[in-house]
Amino acid sequence: MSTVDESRATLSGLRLEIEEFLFAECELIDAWRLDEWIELFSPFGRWLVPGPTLPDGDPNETLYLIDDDAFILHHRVNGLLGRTAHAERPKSRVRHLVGNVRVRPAEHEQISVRANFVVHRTRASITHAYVGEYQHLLERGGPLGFLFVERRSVLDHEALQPQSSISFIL
Amino acid sequence: MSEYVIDDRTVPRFRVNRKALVDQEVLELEKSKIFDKSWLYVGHDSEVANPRDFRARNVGGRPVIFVRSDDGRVRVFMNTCPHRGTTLCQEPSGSARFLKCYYHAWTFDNAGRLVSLPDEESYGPTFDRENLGLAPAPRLEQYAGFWFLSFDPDIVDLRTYLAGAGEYLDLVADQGASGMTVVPGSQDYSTAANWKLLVENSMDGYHGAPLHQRYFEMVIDAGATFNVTKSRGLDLGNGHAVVITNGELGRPAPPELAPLVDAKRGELVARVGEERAAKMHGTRNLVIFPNFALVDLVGAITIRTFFPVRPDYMEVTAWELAPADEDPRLRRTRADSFNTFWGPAGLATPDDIEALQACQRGFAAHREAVWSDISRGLGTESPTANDEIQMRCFWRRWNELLTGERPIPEPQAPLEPFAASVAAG
Repeated sequence: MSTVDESRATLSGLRLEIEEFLFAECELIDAWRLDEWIELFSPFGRWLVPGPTLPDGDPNETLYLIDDDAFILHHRVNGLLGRTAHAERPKSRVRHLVGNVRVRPAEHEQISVRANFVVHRTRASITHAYVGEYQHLLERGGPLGFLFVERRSVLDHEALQPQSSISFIL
Repeated sequence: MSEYVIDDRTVPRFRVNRKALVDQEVLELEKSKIFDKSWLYVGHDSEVANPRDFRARNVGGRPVIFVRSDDGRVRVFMNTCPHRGTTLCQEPSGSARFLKCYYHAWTFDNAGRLVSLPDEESYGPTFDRENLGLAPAPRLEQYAGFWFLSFDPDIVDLRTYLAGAGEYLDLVADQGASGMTVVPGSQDYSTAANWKLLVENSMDGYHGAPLHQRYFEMVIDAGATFNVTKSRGLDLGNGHAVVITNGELGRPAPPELAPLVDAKRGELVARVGEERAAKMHGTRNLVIFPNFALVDLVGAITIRTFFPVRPDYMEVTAWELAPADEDPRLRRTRADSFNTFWGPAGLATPDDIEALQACQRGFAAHREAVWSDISRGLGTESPTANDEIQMRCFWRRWNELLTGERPIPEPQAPLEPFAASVAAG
Protein backbone atom coordinates (compact mmCIF):
# COMPACT_ATOMS: atom_id res chain seq x y z
CA MET A 1 0.00 0.00 0.00
CA SER A 2 1.30 3.55 -0.77
CA THR A 3 1.59 6.12 2.03
CA VAL A 4 -1.39 7.99 0.51
CA ASP A 5 -3.46 4.83 0.72
CA GLU A 6 -2.18 4.18 4.24
CA SER A 7 -3.09 7.62 5.51
CA ARG A 8 -6.46 7.44 3.78
CA ALA A 9 -7.12 4.11 5.46
CA THR A 10 -6.05 5.56 8.81
CA LEU A 11 -8.34 8.51 8.37
CA SER A 12 -11.21 6.26 7.34
CA GLY A 13 -10.62 4.16 10.40
CA LEU A 14 -10.57 7.25 12.57
CA ARG A 15 -13.75 8.52 10.98
CA LEU A 16 -15.45 5.23 11.74
CA GLU A 17 -14.38 5.50 15.38
CA ILE A 18 -15.63 9.08 15.60
CA GLU A 19 -18.95 8.24 13.93
CA GLU A 20 -19.50 5.46 16.44
CA PHE A 21 -18.66 7.87 19.24
CA LEU A 22 -21.08 10.51 17.90
CA PHE A 23 -23.87 7.97 17.44
CA ALA A 24 -23.35 6.72 21.00
CA GLU A 25 -23.25 10.27 22.33
CA CYS A 26 -26.51 11.18 20.58
CA GLU A 27 -28.12 8.00 21.85
CA LEU A 28 -27.37 9.15 25.40
CA ILE A 29 -28.79 12.61 24.72
CA ASP A 30 -31.97 11.34 23.06
CA ALA A 31 -32.53 8.96 25.97
CA TRP A 32 -31.99 11.85 28.45
CA ARG A 33 -29.10 9.89 30.01
CA LEU A 34 -27.41 13.20 30.64
CA ASP A 35 -25.52 12.06 33.73
CA GLU A 36 -23.62 9.71 31.41
CA TRP A 37 -23.40 12.33 28.65
CA ILE A 38 -21.67 14.85 30.89
CA GLU A 39 -18.92 12.27 31.55
CA LEU A 40 -17.88 12.75 27.91
CA PHE A 41 -16.31 16.14 28.61
CA SER A 42 -12.68 16.67 29.50
CA PRO A 43 -12.22 18.64 32.76
CA PHE A 44 -11.89 21.99 30.95
CA GLY A 45 -14.25 21.03 28.16
CA ARG A 46 -16.93 23.49 27.07
CA TRP A 47 -20.19 23.38 25.14
CA LEU A 48 -20.58 26.33 22.81
CA VAL A 49 -23.45 27.50 20.63
CA PRO A 50 -22.55 30.75 18.83
CA GLY A 51 -25.17 33.44 18.38
CA PRO A 52 -26.93 32.60 15.11
CA THR A 53 -26.27 36.01 13.55
CA LEU A 54 -22.49 35.58 13.99
CA PRO A 55 -21.76 31.85 13.67
CA ASP A 56 -18.00 32.43 13.38
CA GLY A 57 -17.86 34.84 16.31
CA ASP A 58 -15.32 34.68 19.12
CA PRO A 59 -17.02 34.05 22.49
CA ASN A 60 -14.91 36.81 24.05
CA GLU A 61 -16.13 39.36 21.49
CA THR A 62 -19.62 38.38 20.39
CA LEU A 63 -22.92 37.33 21.91
CA TYR A 64 -23.33 33.56 22.19
CA LEU A 65 -26.37 31.44 23.01
CA ILE A 66 -24.46 28.89 25.09
CA ASP A 67 -20.92 29.00 26.48
CA ASP A 68 -20.99 26.41 29.25
CA ASP A 69 -17.95 25.50 31.29
CA ALA A 70 -17.97 22.41 33.52
CA PHE A 71 -19.67 24.25 36.36
CA ILE A 72 -22.59 25.50 34.26
CA LEU A 73 -22.86 22.20 32.36
CA HIS A 74 -23.19 20.43 35.68
CA HIS A 75 -26.04 22.74 36.69
CA ARG A 76 -27.69 22.53 33.31
CA VAL A 77 -27.71 18.73 33.48
CA ASN A 78 -28.82 18.62 37.11
CA GLY A 79 -31.70 20.97 36.39
CA LEU A 80 -32.77 18.93 33.37
CA LEU A 81 -32.65 15.66 35.32
CA GLY A 82 -34.43 17.14 38.33
CA ARG A 83 -37.70 19.00 38.61
CA THR A 84 -36.65 22.61 38.14
CA ALA A 85 -36.23 22.85 34.36
CA HIS A 86 -39.83 23.75 33.62
CA ALA A 87 -39.11 24.08 29.93
CA GLU A 88 -38.48 20.32 29.91
CA ARG A 89 -41.28 19.07 32.15
CA PRO A 90 -42.43 16.82 30.71
CA LYS A 91 -39.32 16.09 28.69
CA SER A 92 -39.39 16.83 24.99
CA ARG A 93 -38.80 13.99 22.59
CA VAL A 94 -35.48 14.64 20.93
CA ARG A 95 -33.99 12.85 17.94
CA HIS A 96 -30.51 13.57 16.61
CA LEU A 97 -29.43 12.79 13.04
CA VAL A 98 -25.68 13.09 12.49
CA GLY A 99 -24.03 12.73 9.13
CA ASN A 100 -21.35 13.99 6.74
CA VAL A 101 -18.75 13.27 9.39
CA ARG A 102 -15.29 14.63 8.54
CA VAL A 103 -12.25 14.18 10.75
CA ARG A 104 -8.82 15.69 10.77
CA PRO A 105 -5.95 15.21 13.20
CA ALA A 106 -5.25 18.38 15.20
CA GLU A 107 -2.46 19.55 17.51
CA HIS A 108 -1.62 17.80 20.78
CA GLU A 109 -3.06 14.51 19.46
CA GLN A 110 -6.53 16.02 19.44
CA ILE A 111 -9.00 15.39 16.64
CA SER A 112 -10.99 18.05 14.82
CA VAL A 113 -14.46 16.83 13.85
CA ARG A 114 -17.09 18.37 11.60
CA ALA A 115 -20.48 16.78 11.11
CA ASN A 116 -23.90 17.90 9.97
CA PHE A 117 -26.80 17.63 12.36
CA VAL A 118 -30.55 17.76 12.21
CA VAL A 119 -32.25 17.53 15.58
CA HIS A 120 -36.02 17.20 15.82
CA ARG A 121 -37.63 18.19 19.05
CA THR A 122 -41.28 17.46 19.82
CA ARG A 123 -43.11 19.22 22.60
CA ALA A 124 -46.86 19.71 23.15
CA SER A 125 -47.51 17.99 19.80
CA ILE A 126 -45.35 20.43 17.86
CA THR A 127 -42.13 19.31 16.18
CA HIS A 128 -39.35 21.71 15.33
CA ALA A 129 -36.12 21.02 13.47
CA TYR A 130 -32.73 22.47 14.39
CA VAL A 131 -30.14 22.27 11.59
CA GLY A 132 -26.45 22.99 11.68
CA GLU A 133 -22.89 21.77 11.87
CA TYR A 134 -20.98 20.27 14.76
CA GLN A 135 -17.43 21.60 15.06
CA HIS A 136 -15.87 19.57 17.84
CA LEU A 137 -12.39 19.16 19.23
CA LEU A 138 -11.87 15.76 20.80
CA GLU A 139 -9.12 13.95 22.67
CA ARG A 140 -8.88 10.24 23.38
CA GLY A 141 -10.12 8.99 26.72
CA GLY A 142 -13.28 8.57 28.74
CA PRO A 143 -15.96 5.87 28.85
CA LEU A 144 -16.68 5.95 25.10
CA GLY A 145 -13.13 6.43 23.84
CA PHE A 146 -13.21 10.18 23.26
CA LEU A 147 -13.72 13.30 25.35
CA PHE A 148 -14.92 16.75 24.30
CA VAL A 149 -12.30 19.44 24.63
CA GLU A 150 -14.75 21.68 22.83
CA ARG A 151 -18.25 20.69 21.81
CA ARG A 152 -19.63 23.23 19.39
CA SER A 153 -23.12 23.25 17.81
CA VAL A 154 -23.30 25.87 15.05
CA LEU A 155 -26.84 26.61 13.91
CA ASP A 156 -27.72 27.42 10.31
CA HIS A 157 -30.81 29.30 11.47
CA GLU A 158 -30.47 33.09 11.67
CA ALA A 159 -33.04 33.13 14.45
CA LEU A 160 -34.74 30.58 16.70
CA GLN A 161 -37.99 31.23 14.88
CA PRO A 162 -40.22 29.30 15.25
CA GLN A 163 -38.17 27.05 17.55
CA SER A 164 -38.30 29.65 20.40
CA SER A 165 -35.55 28.16 22.56
CA ILE A 166 -32.91 25.52 23.16
CA SER A 167 -33.87 23.87 26.43
CA PHE A 168 -32.39 20.44 25.67
CA ILE A 169 -28.95 19.28 24.58
CA LEU A 170 -28.54 20.28 20.94
CA MET B 1 -66.55 50.59 31.08
CA SER B 2 -63.87 48.83 29.09
CA GLU B 3 -64.64 45.29 28.02
CA TYR B 4 -60.97 44.41 28.47
CA VAL B 5 -59.85 45.89 31.78
CA ILE B 6 -61.57 46.12 35.16
CA ASP B 7 -59.78 48.58 37.43
CA ASP B 8 -61.90 48.45 40.57
CA ARG B 9 -60.43 50.46 43.46
CA THR B 10 -63.26 49.62 45.86
CA VAL B 11 -62.56 45.89 46.23
CA PRO B 12 -59.68 46.51 45.19
CA ARG B 13 -59.18 44.35 42.13
CA PHE B 14 -57.60 44.67 38.70
CA ARG B 15 -58.52 42.19 36.01
CA VAL B 16 -57.82 41.77 32.34
CA ASN B 17 -60.14 39.91 30.00
CA ARG B 18 -58.16 37.17 28.31
CA LYS B 19 -59.74 37.87 24.95
CA ALA B 20 -57.30 40.80 24.83
CA LEU B 21 -54.61 38.14 24.47
CA VAL B 22 -56.40 36.03 21.87
CA ASP B 23 -58.50 38.12 19.47
CA GLN B 24 -57.28 39.04 16.01
CA GLU B 25 -59.44 42.22 16.10
CA VAL B 26 -57.57 43.35 19.20
CA LEU B 27 -54.27 42.85 17.40
CA GLU B 28 -55.48 44.95 14.45
CA LEU B 29 -56.51 47.72 16.86
CA GLU B 30 -53.13 47.48 18.62
CA LYS B 31 -51.32 47.92 15.30
CA SER B 32 -53.15 51.12 14.40
CA LYS B 33 -53.73 52.63 17.85
CA ILE B 34 -50.57 51.60 19.68
CA PHE B 35 -47.70 50.53 17.42
CA ASP B 36 -48.44 53.26 14.86
CA LYS B 37 -48.84 55.91 17.56
CA SER B 38 -45.89 55.26 19.88
CA TRP B 39 -42.14 55.60 19.97
CA LEU B 40 -40.60 52.23 19.00
CA TYR B 41 -37.00 51.21 19.71
CA VAL B 42 -34.77 50.96 16.63
CA GLY B 43 -31.26 50.41 17.93
CA HIS B 44 -28.39 51.76 19.95
CA ASP B 45 -26.01 54.51 18.87
CA SER B 46 -23.08 52.09 19.16
CA GLU B 47 -24.58 49.87 16.44
CA VAL B 48 -23.95 52.62 13.87
CA ALA B 49 -20.81 54.00 15.46
CA ASN B 50 -19.12 55.07 12.22
CA PRO B 51 -20.39 56.88 9.13
CA ARG B 52 -21.64 54.34 6.56
CA ASP B 53 -22.51 51.73 9.25
CA PHE B 54 -25.98 50.34 8.69
CA ARG B 55 -28.35 47.79 10.26
CA ALA B 56 -31.31 46.30 8.45
CA ARG B 57 -34.04 45.08 10.77
CA ASN B 58 -37.77 45.02 11.36
CA VAL B 59 -39.36 47.70 13.54
CA GLY B 60 -43.10 47.85 14.13
CA GLY B 61 -43.67 45.32 11.37
CA ARG B 62 -41.75 47.29 8.72
CA PRO B 63 -38.31 46.52 7.27
CA VAL B 64 -36.08 49.52 7.99
CA ILE B 65 -32.50 50.62 7.44
CA PHE B 66 -30.82 52.19 10.50
CA VAL B 67 -27.77 54.04 9.19
CA ARG B 68 -25.22 56.71 10.01
CA SER B 69 -24.78 58.80 6.88
CA ASP B 70 -21.54 60.31 5.60
CA ASP B 71 -22.51 63.61 7.26
CA GLY B 72 -22.48 61.85 10.66
CA ARG B 73 -26.26 62.01 11.17
CA VAL B 74 -28.21 58.91 12.08
CA ARG B 75 -31.18 58.20 9.85
CA VAL B 76 -33.85 55.52 9.43
CA PHE B 77 -35.35 54.69 6.03
CA MET B 78 -37.96 52.15 5.00
CA ASN B 79 -36.01 49.28 3.45
CA THR B 80 -37.84 49.39 0.13
CA CYS B 81 -36.90 50.81 -3.26
CA PRO B 82 -39.11 53.77 -4.27
CA HIS B 83 -39.21 52.38 -7.83
CA ARG B 84 -40.78 48.93 -7.43
CA GLY B 85 -40.32 48.03 -3.75
CA THR B 86 -37.35 45.64 -3.61
CA THR B 87 -35.65 45.59 -0.23
CA LEU B 88 -32.34 47.41 -0.66
CA CYS B 89 -30.33 45.91 2.19
CA GLN B 90 -30.28 42.12 2.19
CA GLU B 91 -27.50 41.88 4.77
CA PRO B 92 -28.39 42.51 8.43
CA SER B 93 -25.43 44.87 8.85
CA GLY B 94 -22.57 46.40 6.96
CA SER B 95 -20.96 49.57 5.76
CA ALA B 96 -22.15 51.30 2.61
CA ARG B 97 -21.50 54.53 0.81
CA PHE B 98 -24.26 53.73 -1.70
CA LEU B 99 -27.23 51.38 -1.72
CA LYS B 100 -27.90 49.99 -5.17
CA CYS B 101 -31.10 48.15 -5.93
CA TYR B 102 -30.22 44.96 -7.79
CA TYR B 103 -33.53 44.93 -9.68
CA HIS B 104 -33.21 48.04 -11.91
CA ALA B 105 -29.95 49.52 -10.57
CA TRP B 106 -31.44 52.62 -8.96
CA THR B 107 -28.72 53.87 -6.62
CA PHE B 108 -29.11 55.85 -3.38
CA ASP B 109 -26.52 57.45 -1.14
CA ASN B 110 -26.51 56.68 2.58
CA ALA B 111 -28.53 59.82 3.26
CA GLY B 112 -31.32 58.33 1.16
CA ARG B 113 -30.97 60.50 -1.97
CA LEU B 114 -31.46 58.96 -5.41
CA VAL B 115 -28.11 59.63 -7.03
CA SER B 116 -28.22 57.60 -10.22
CA LEU B 117 -30.39 55.32 -12.33
CA PRO B 118 -30.01 53.83 -15.80
CA ASP B 119 -31.42 55.82 -18.75
CA GLU B 120 -32.72 58.72 -16.67
CA GLU B 121 -33.10 60.80 -19.86
CA SER B 122 -35.99 58.66 -21.10
CA TYR B 123 -38.09 59.78 -18.15
CA GLY B 124 -38.08 63.29 -19.62
CA PRO B 125 -37.92 66.71 -17.93
CA THR B 126 -40.77 65.99 -15.50
CA PHE B 127 -38.85 63.23 -13.73
CA ASP B 128 -38.98 64.14 -10.03
CA ARG B 129 -35.66 62.74 -8.83
CA GLU B 130 -35.62 64.98 -5.71
CA ASN B 131 -38.73 63.25 -4.39
CA LEU B 132 -37.76 59.70 -5.30
CA GLY B 133 -35.33 59.17 -2.45
CA LEU B 134 -35.77 56.58 0.28
CA ALA B 135 -38.82 57.06 2.49
CA PRO B 136 -37.65 58.18 5.93
CA ALA B 137 -39.25 57.10 9.19
CA PRO B 138 -41.71 59.93 10.01
CA ARG B 139 -39.94 60.69 13.31
CA LEU B 140 -36.57 59.65 14.70
CA GLU B 141 -35.03 60.75 18.01
CA GLN B 142 -32.59 59.40 20.54
CA TYR B 143 -32.24 59.57 24.28
CA ALA B 144 -29.09 58.45 26.13
CA GLY B 145 -27.92 56.64 23.00
CA PHE B 146 -31.17 54.72 22.50
CA TRP B 147 -32.76 55.52 19.12
CA PHE B 148 -36.53 55.39 18.74
CA LEU B 149 -38.71 55.98 15.71
CA SER B 150 -42.40 56.76 15.36
CA PHE B 151 -44.78 56.21 12.49
CA ASP B 152 -46.90 59.06 13.87
CA PRO B 153 -45.55 62.35 12.47
CA ASP B 154 -47.42 64.33 15.17
CA ILE B 155 -46.30 62.38 18.22
CA VAL B 156 -44.95 64.28 21.22
CA ASP B 157 -41.14 64.49 21.39
CA LEU B 158 -39.30 61.46 22.75
CA ARG B 159 -38.06 63.09 25.94
CA THR B 160 -41.58 64.11 26.92
CA TYR B 161 -42.92 60.69 25.94
CA LEU B 162 -40.33 58.94 28.14
CA ALA B 163 -41.52 60.86 31.23
CA GLY B 164 -40.01 59.13 34.31
CA ALA B 165 -38.37 56.40 32.23
CA GLY B 166 -35.60 58.76 31.07
CA GLU B 167 -33.98 58.67 34.49
CA TYR B 168 -33.72 54.86 34.35
CA LEU B 169 -32.18 54.91 30.88
CA ASP B 170 -29.65 57.37 32.32
CA LEU B 171 -28.84 55.06 35.23
CA VAL B 172 -27.78 52.45 32.68
CA ALA B 173 -26.22 54.75 30.09
CA ASP B 174 -23.98 56.35 32.72
CA GLN B 175 -22.48 53.04 33.88
CA GLY B 176 -19.73 53.15 31.26
CA ALA B 177 -16.89 55.62 31.62
CA SER B 178 -16.76 55.80 27.80
CA GLY B 179 -20.45 55.18 27.28
CA MET B 180 -22.24 51.92 26.57
CA THR B 181 -22.06 49.58 23.60
CA VAL B 182 -24.11 46.75 22.20
CA VAL B 183 -21.95 43.62 22.18
CA PRO B 184 -21.80 42.36 18.57
CA GLY B 185 -24.57 39.89 17.81
CA SER B 186 -28.15 39.46 18.89
CA GLN B 187 -30.46 36.73 20.10
CA ASP B 188 -33.50 36.48 17.86
CA TYR B 189 -36.17 34.05 18.88
CA SER B 190 -39.91 33.54 19.00
CA THR B 191 -42.51 32.73 21.61
CA ALA B 192 -45.87 31.15 20.86
CA ALA B 193 -47.70 33.62 23.06
CA ASN B 194 -49.26 37.07 23.01
CA TRP B 195 -46.70 39.89 23.07
CA LYS B 196 -48.24 41.49 26.13
CA LEU B 197 -47.29 38.44 28.21
CA LEU B 198 -43.65 39.32 27.63
CA VAL B 199 -44.30 42.88 28.82
CA GLU B 200 -45.55 41.40 32.09
CA ASN B 201 -42.83 38.76 32.35
CA SER B 202 -40.08 41.38 31.82
CA MET B 203 -40.96 43.10 35.07
CA ASP B 204 -42.37 40.42 37.33
CA GLY B 205 -40.50 39.72 40.55
CA TYR B 206 -43.13 37.33 41.83
CA HIS B 207 -42.12 34.51 39.47
CA GLY B 208 -38.41 34.68 40.29
CA ALA B 209 -38.24 32.16 43.12
CA PRO B 210 -40.57 29.46 41.75
CA LEU B 211 -39.83 29.63 38.04
CA HIS B 212 -36.11 30.35 38.17
CA GLN B 213 -35.17 27.93 40.92
CA ARG B 214 -32.56 26.17 38.77
CA TYR B 215 -30.84 29.45 37.99
CA PHE B 216 -30.74 30.54 41.64
CA GLU B 217 -29.42 27.13 42.74
CA MET B 218 -26.53 27.64 40.33
CA VAL B 219 -25.83 31.16 41.57
CA ILE B 220 -25.91 30.04 45.21
CA ASP B 221 -23.54 27.20 44.37
CA ALA B 222 -21.24 29.82 42.80
CA GLY B 223 -21.06 31.63 46.13
CA ALA B 224 -23.70 34.35 45.85
CA THR B 225 -25.32 35.65 49.01
CA PHE B 226 -28.61 37.23 48.13
CA ASN B 227 -28.75 40.67 49.61
CA VAL B 228 -32.02 42.04 48.26
CA THR B 229 -33.67 43.73 51.20
CA LYS B 230 -35.58 46.52 49.46
CA SER B 231 -37.57 46.70 46.26
CA ARG B 232 -40.15 48.91 44.64
CA GLY B 233 -42.46 48.99 41.67
CA LEU B 234 -42.87 52.45 40.13
CA ASP B 235 -45.28 54.07 37.70
CA LEU B 236 -43.11 56.23 35.43
CA GLY B 237 -45.98 57.78 33.47
CA ASN B 238 -47.32 57.22 29.94
CA GLY B 239 -47.53 53.45 30.48
CA HIS B 240 -43.85 53.02 31.37
CA ALA B 241 -42.85 51.30 34.61
CA VAL B 242 -39.88 49.87 36.44
CA VAL B 243 -39.18 47.51 39.33
CA ILE B 244 -35.98 48.12 41.24
CA THR B 245 -34.16 46.29 44.01
CA ASN B 246 -31.09 47.07 46.09
CA GLY B 247 -29.33 43.75 45.59
CA GLU B 248 -27.44 41.68 43.10
CA LEU B 249 -28.82 38.51 41.57
CA GLY B 250 -25.95 37.34 39.41
CA ARG B 251 -23.08 34.95 39.68
CA PRO B 252 -20.33 36.64 41.68
CA ALA B 253 -17.18 37.66 39.82
CA PRO B 254 -14.27 35.30 40.47
CA PRO B 255 -12.27 36.41 43.56
CA GLU B 256 -9.16 37.10 41.49
CA LEU B 257 -11.06 39.88 39.72
CA ALA B 258 -11.91 41.68 42.98
CA PRO B 259 -9.27 44.43 42.41
CA LEU B 260 -10.79 45.14 38.97
CA VAL B 261 -14.32 45.26 40.40
CA ASP B 262 -13.18 47.63 43.16
CA ALA B 263 -11.36 49.85 40.70
CA LYS B 264 -14.45 50.04 38.53
CA ARG B 265 -16.61 50.98 41.50
CA GLY B 266 -14.04 53.61 42.53
CA GLU B 267 -14.06 55.13 39.05
CA LEU B 268 -17.84 55.25 39.07
CA VAL B 269 -18.02 56.98 42.45
CA ALA B 270 -15.39 59.50 41.37
CA ARG B 271 -17.31 60.25 38.17
CA VAL B 272 -20.95 60.39 39.39
CA GLY B 273 -20.70 60.69 43.19
CA GLU B 274 -21.61 58.32 46.02
CA GLU B 275 -25.34 58.90 45.93
CA ARG B 276 -25.75 58.30 42.19
CA ALA B 277 -23.38 55.34 42.27
CA ALA B 278 -25.58 53.85 45.00
CA LYS B 279 -28.62 54.37 42.76
CA MET B 280 -26.85 52.59 39.91
CA HIS B 281 -26.09 49.64 42.18
CA GLY B 282 -28.86 47.09 42.45
CA THR B 283 -31.26 45.95 39.75
CA ARG B 284 -33.84 47.50 37.43
CA ASN B 285 -36.44 45.97 35.13
CA LEU B 286 -37.73 48.75 32.88
CA VAL B 287 -40.43 48.62 30.21
CA ILE B 288 -40.96 51.58 27.89
CA PHE B 289 -44.44 51.39 26.43
CA PRO B 290 -45.28 49.53 24.35
CA ASN B 291 -42.59 46.94 23.62
CA PHE B 292 -39.07 47.85 24.80
CA ALA B 293 -37.58 46.23 27.87
CA LEU B 294 -34.24 46.94 29.52
CA VAL B 295 -33.27 44.63 32.34
CA ASP B 296 -30.16 45.22 34.45
CA LEU B 297 -30.51 42.35 36.87
CA VAL B 298 -27.84 39.65 37.01
CA GLY B 299 -24.56 41.48 36.46
CA ALA B 300 -25.43 41.83 32.79
CA ILE B 301 -27.84 44.06 30.90
CA THR B 302 -30.25 42.88 28.24
CA ILE B 303 -32.33 45.09 25.98
CA ARG B 304 -35.15 43.52 24.03
CA THR B 305 -38.00 44.34 21.71
CA PHE B 306 -40.81 42.12 20.55
CA PHE B 307 -43.58 42.37 17.98
CA PRO B 308 -46.76 40.38 17.43
CA VAL B 309 -46.95 38.37 14.23
CA ARG B 310 -50.24 36.81 15.39
CA PRO B 311 -52.14 37.07 18.64
CA ASP B 312 -50.47 33.83 19.74
CA TYR B 313 -46.98 34.35 18.28
CA MET B 314 -44.35 37.04 18.74
CA GLU B 315 -40.83 37.60 17.48
CA VAL B 316 -38.26 38.79 19.99
CA THR B 317 -34.84 40.36 19.55
CA ALA B 318 -32.47 40.71 22.49
CA TRP B 319 -29.08 42.33 22.73
CA GLU B 320 -26.36 42.56 25.38
CA LEU B 321 -25.52 46.09 26.48
CA ALA B 322 -22.20 46.65 28.25
CA PRO B 323 -19.80 49.45 29.17
CA ALA B 324 -17.65 50.33 26.20
CA ASP B 325 -13.93 49.75 26.74
CA GLU B 326 -14.66 47.27 29.53
CA ASP B 327 -11.70 45.22 30.77
CA PRO B 328 -11.80 41.92 28.80
CA ARG B 329 -11.80 39.86 32.00
CA LEU B 330 -14.83 41.75 33.35
CA ARG B 331 -16.48 41.46 29.96
CA ARG B 332 -15.92 37.69 30.09
CA THR B 333 -17.57 37.51 33.53
CA ARG B 334 -20.41 39.65 32.23
CA ALA B 335 -20.86 37.30 29.26
CA ASP B 336 -21.03 34.30 31.59
CA SER B 337 -23.71 36.06 33.64
CA PHE B 338 -25.59 37.04 30.50
CA ASN B 339 -25.55 33.61 28.91
CA THR B 340 -26.66 31.76 32.01
CA PHE B 341 -29.71 33.93 32.62
CA TRP B 342 -30.66 35.77 29.45
CA GLY B 343 -31.28 34.35 26.07
CA PRO B 344 -33.34 31.48 24.74
CA ALA B 345 -30.70 28.85 25.63
CA GLY B 346 -29.75 29.81 29.17
CA LEU B 347 -30.92 28.50 32.54
CA ALA B 348 -33.78 30.98 32.94
CA THR B 349 -35.37 32.46 29.79
CA PRO B 350 -36.39 29.08 28.31
CA ASP B 351 -38.53 28.58 31.42
CA ASP B 352 -40.11 32.02 30.93
CA ILE B 353 -40.80 31.14 27.28
CA GLU B 354 -42.38 27.87 28.33
CA ALA B 355 -44.54 29.59 30.96
CA LEU B 356 -45.83 32.17 28.46
CA GLN B 357 -46.57 29.49 25.88
CA ALA B 358 -48.44 27.50 28.51
CA CYS B 359 -50.49 30.61 29.37
CA GLN B 360 -51.40 30.97 25.72
CA ARG B 361 -52.46 27.31 25.57
CA GLY B 362 -54.62 27.98 28.63
CA PHE B 363 -56.24 30.97 26.95
CA ALA B 364 -58.06 28.62 24.60
CA ALA B 365 -60.46 28.34 27.54
CA HIS B 366 -60.85 32.13 27.77
CA ARG B 367 -64.64 32.00 27.40
CA GLU B 368 -64.85 29.98 30.62
CA ALA B 369 -61.79 31.25 32.52
CA VAL B 370 -62.30 34.83 31.48
CA TRP B 371 -60.11 37.01 33.65
CA SER B 372 -56.44 37.32 34.53
CA ASP B 373 -55.92 38.83 37.96
CA ILE B 374 -53.29 41.54 38.24
CA SER B 375 -54.15 42.89 41.67
CA ARG B 376 -51.01 42.37 43.73
CA GLY B 377 -50.18 45.51 45.66
CA LEU B 378 -53.30 47.38 44.57
CA GLY B 379 -54.15 49.64 47.50
CA THR B 380 -50.60 49.97 48.85
CA GLU B 381 -48.56 53.08 48.11
CA SER B 382 -45.16 51.35 48.16
CA PRO B 383 -45.60 48.17 46.14
CA THR B 384 -42.59 45.88 45.94
CA ALA B 385 -41.02 44.13 42.96
CA ASN B 386 -43.25 41.14 43.80
CA ASP B 387 -46.38 43.26 43.34
CA GLU B 388 -47.98 44.17 40.07
CA ILE B 389 -48.33 47.95 39.76
CA GLN B 390 -45.85 47.86 36.89
CA MET B 391 -48.19 45.65 34.84
CA ARG B 392 -51.23 47.73 35.74
CA CYS B 393 -49.44 50.83 34.38
CA PHE B 394 -48.98 49.08 31.06
CA TRP B 395 -52.53 47.78 30.91
CA ARG B 396 -54.07 51.14 31.86
CA ARG B 397 -52.21 52.90 29.05
CA TRP B 398 -53.06 50.07 26.65
CA ASN B 399 -56.71 50.35 27.66
CA GLU B 400 -56.66 54.12 27.24
CA LEU B 401 -55.34 53.90 23.69
CA LEU B 402 -57.77 51.19 22.66
CA THR B 403 -60.95 52.40 24.35
CA GLY B 404 -60.40 56.05 25.24
CA GLU B 405 -61.00 55.33 28.93
CA ARG B 406 -58.85 57.72 31.00
CA PRO B 407 -56.76 55.89 33.61
CA ILE B 408 -56.61 56.97 37.24
CA PRO B 409 -53.04 56.46 38.48
CA GLU B 410 -52.51 54.66 41.77
CA PRO B 411 -51.25 56.88 44.61
CA GLN B 412 -47.52 56.35 45.05
CA ALA B 413 -45.43 57.07 48.13
CA PRO B 414 -42.26 58.99 47.32
CA LEU B 415 -39.28 56.77 46.56
CA GLU B 416 -36.76 56.90 49.39
CA PRO B 417 -33.23 56.20 48.18
CA PHE B 418 -32.28 52.64 49.03
CA ALA B 419 -28.87 53.77 50.32
CA ALA B 420 -26.63 56.84 50.46
CA SER B 421 -23.72 54.81 49.20
CA VAL B 422 -23.02 51.36 47.88
CA ALA B 423 -21.34 50.47 51.16
CA ALA B 424 -24.42 51.52 53.09
CA GLY B 425 -26.74 49.51 50.79
